[in-house]
Parts: sequence; C-alpha cells; structure tokens
Amino acid sequence: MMAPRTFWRLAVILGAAVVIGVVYNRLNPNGIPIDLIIF
Amino acid sequence: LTALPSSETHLLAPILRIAIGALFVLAGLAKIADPIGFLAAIIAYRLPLSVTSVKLAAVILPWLEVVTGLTLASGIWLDAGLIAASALSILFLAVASQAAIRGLSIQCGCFGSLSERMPSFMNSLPFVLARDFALAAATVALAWNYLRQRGISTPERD
Repeated sequence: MMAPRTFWRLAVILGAAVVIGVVYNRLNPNGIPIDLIIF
Repeated sequence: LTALPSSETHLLAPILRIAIGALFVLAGLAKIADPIGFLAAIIAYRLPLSVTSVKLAAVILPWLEVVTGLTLASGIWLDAGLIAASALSILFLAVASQAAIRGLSIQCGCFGSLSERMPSFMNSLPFVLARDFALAAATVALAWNYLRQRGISTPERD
C-alpha cells in the first residue's frame, strides 16, 4: 500500500511535468499544435 | 542489487541511481529540443491512441523524464522518483516490445535529435529492447531496494 506522502509526491511530479510541458509547448514557436481549447 | 552484499549495494545503488537520473534528464532534454521529431517517433509506434493523446504524450513525457531524472540524481523525493522512473522504464519497454512483436520498422526516438549522432546499431530494435529491459530491471531493483529498506515514505526518516 502506497503511503499518502508518496502518492502526493508522485502527483506533484506528474503535475509539474504537465504544467511545465504544456506552458513550454505553448510558448515554444516550434511547439506541437494541440487542438484543445484549454491548451 | 538485492543479491549483492549490503556493503556493495550501498556503493553501487547511489552510483546507478545518479547515472540513470542523468540519463533520464539527457533523454528528456534531447526530446524537448526536437518536439516535432519526438511526435513523429511516437506516431511511428502506431499505438491505439487518439491524435490528441499522442500530442499530449509528446508534450508531457519529456518533462516527466526530466523531473523524474532530477529526483533520482538529486536524491530528493526518492520514493516517488524511483516509482515514477520504474513506471516510465516499464512503459518504454512495453511500447518497444509491442513494436517488435508487430514487426514495425521504427526509429527509437529515445534520445530525440541526439539519436542521429549515435552509431546506427544503437537505434536498432534489438539494442533498444535490451537497453529498455536493462533500464527497467535496474529502476525496479533500485525502487524495490530503497522502499524495502526505508519503507514507502516513513515520516521519521524523510
């Protein structure tokens, strides 16, 4: 059974990757065009 | 690692962990430098995913590698970092294996634009499979070893 702290740390790692990835891709002129309104 | 004497494990485990962490960071940064190339590499695997899912994977996966690699190399949040690294390694092995089983002719895409500068055999499917298997075995062994010794995130030891 995964401890709550480990679970939240995993969530932060995944969340950081999502936020940084989406923002960087948005700002990068050579980024990938994603056809989603929220991105 | 579990089969080694504890004195050797104590020396080998941190070296292996930092090396794998650096490898993850390098692979992630190489993919970030060439996002369209990495997207093309993922598409070539012909995974049963929607176009949007594949694009999101191409955007998020390299940063997940970098963040995970940083936790491994720095030793911060090792419990979560080792679990994330194990999951990523198993995912890479599964994706490469399905390509091999289906007989797809693929470019690994593992190191983005750096792949072109590597010797050609390092991009061949047998080599990629062997490397992914070794990586998965090493990360799972490290995670198992760490979590067995420390417990999964015990407050008094973190």
